Amino acid sequence: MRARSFACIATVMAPCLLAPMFAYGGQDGAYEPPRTQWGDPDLRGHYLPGAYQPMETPANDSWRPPEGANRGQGAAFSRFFEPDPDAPPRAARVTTPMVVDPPDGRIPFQPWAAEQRGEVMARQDDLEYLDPRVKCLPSALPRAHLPVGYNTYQIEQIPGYVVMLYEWNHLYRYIPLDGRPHVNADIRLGMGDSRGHWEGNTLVVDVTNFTENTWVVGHGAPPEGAPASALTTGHGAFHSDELHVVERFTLRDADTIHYEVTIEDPQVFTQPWTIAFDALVRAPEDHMLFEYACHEGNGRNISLMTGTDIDAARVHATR
Amino acid sequence: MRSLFAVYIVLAMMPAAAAQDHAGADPYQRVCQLCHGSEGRGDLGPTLVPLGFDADYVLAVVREGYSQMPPISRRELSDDDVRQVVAYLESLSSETASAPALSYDGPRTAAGRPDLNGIWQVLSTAAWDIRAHNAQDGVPAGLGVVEGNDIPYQEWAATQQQANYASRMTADPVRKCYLPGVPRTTYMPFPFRILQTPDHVIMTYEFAHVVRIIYTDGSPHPLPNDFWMGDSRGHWDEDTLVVDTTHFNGQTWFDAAGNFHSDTLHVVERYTPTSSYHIDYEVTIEDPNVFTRPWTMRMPLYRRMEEGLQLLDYDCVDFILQSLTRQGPEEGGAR
Repeated sequence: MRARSFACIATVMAPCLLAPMFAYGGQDGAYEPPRTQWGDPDLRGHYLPGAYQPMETPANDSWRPPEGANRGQGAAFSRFFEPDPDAPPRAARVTTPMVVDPPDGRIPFQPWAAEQRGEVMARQDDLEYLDPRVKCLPSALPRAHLPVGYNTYQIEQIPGYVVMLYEWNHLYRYIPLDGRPHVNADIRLGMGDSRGHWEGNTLVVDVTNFTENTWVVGHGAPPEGAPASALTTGHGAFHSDELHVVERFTLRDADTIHYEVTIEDPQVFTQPWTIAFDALVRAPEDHMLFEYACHEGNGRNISLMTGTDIDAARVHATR
Repeated sequence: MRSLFAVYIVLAMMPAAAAQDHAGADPYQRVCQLCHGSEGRGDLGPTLVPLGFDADYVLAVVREGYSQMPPISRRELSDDDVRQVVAYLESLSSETASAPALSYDGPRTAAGRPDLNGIWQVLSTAAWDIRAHNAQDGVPAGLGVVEGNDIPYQEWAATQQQANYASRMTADPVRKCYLPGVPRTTYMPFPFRILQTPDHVIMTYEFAHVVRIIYTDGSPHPLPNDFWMGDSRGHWDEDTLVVDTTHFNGQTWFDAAGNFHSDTLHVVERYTPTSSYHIDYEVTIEDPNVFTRPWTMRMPLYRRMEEGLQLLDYDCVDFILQSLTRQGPEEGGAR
């Protein structure tokens, strides 16, 4: 819990008091989850994305996309995941922001980073700045758990490990629970390097060793009625190689996993910040993860954006 | 029965096909061999090695007859003789079964299956060429992994393979960072991790974070969608994990040498652990649109033993993007 203690030291007053508000595990009256045969809380199963809600408090004035910016969502959409229009809504739409700390519900960018984010969003028609997920790079964390209509999840457990599988772009991560240290700092991983432990019924995962080419957050569900200029999706929230993420997964009832994440990156943000929402809702019995071949269908898009034949580029790169 | 009696007498006088010390060899040769063949290999009657029946069942069939097989009296073959014959056939069965592979004595799951959890890797040059090949710049030589070194291409397909080979630097789907397909994903020169649960065997590969979720719950192949990695359904045949994969899209290759298939590819993989550290990996390839008959590849999988080993990243999409934007990751900043 380095992130939380950092928060307490750095901002002295209020945030320390906030910490218990987000903790679901081990409280009186809290849901008591089933256990695996070896005694860990049992998170296993298939899940769909949970609550759709804005990332930040909408703010008209603090950020506007410059003239001519490409504001299309751009994300690939697979027909497999198209929501059934007749199905009852599974997740409630929540209108409060996911950002619960700082209390203003805004991502605490340093001024230069807020400016940079504006440029990132203004240049989404440039491959260099394009949303890394649209380029089929890994989601990183916590972005992999933010709700999008074409991602579902499978959680498996074996003694000593929790394993999370993501349908979107066939990502996965093994979370060892044996207290081993993080991998060497020179190693960089698209989904970061995860180390977990149980605090009561809550799975706490410390994630470091990220690459620099992903976004921290960002999802595809701006709230209805949000002004067009409000940057409520978390898009463009880049990070440095000092990104440090602490996740807390807690079953709040038999079918819902509450997700609370503290994000720390002293290069980009003024303070550690926390998002909290119901990220995972249990899927129907017959749910299975389908193959999500992302990059395989992207070559034409990339060729159009760069004016380069992707095959030829590959050959040049290896000669 | 009179004519059979005559045959028994003749048989009893014939020299045994092979020296057999087993107490059951003599009654077998005297009574059973005429129809069931030397050493139970089958002839008029079915093969009896490996013997799929217990002694009580055999005894009942011997006394009562079954289909073409006549009943045999206790005078010809006593109950003890039958039990000796069963023991003899079982001894032949175990010799046959243990010949190609040692029986598995490694760890097992709660369900009694071999525990395959862990990080594995193929050590061969199959990723470059599944057939025997000499070294080239950056490509180690290899004896090949195809049985008989013979891929039974149809004529047009042999020509196509040669064209693929000639254009492999641009045409190989893996060079474009496309999903490698099955079985190529197994023998890419990268480690992969097996996650075994009661309902699945999940294979996660370091190359391009490929995932195969192999259902072992008896469920059938799903709707007729097609996939780069196909749809995999598995079951256990004794200690062998058998994985049946279909529903391919026909866009993947078997190696970097242009060996290929169509969307009617049907792959059957057999993962037979022979110790805690080795899996005998056998793959049968069937594709009536490309080959004249099914063919087989075989190679060992080795358990990676380094302490603290974990799968890392080979995110080749990023390498392609870097080559397009002509900058390394350290220059990439907030991409």
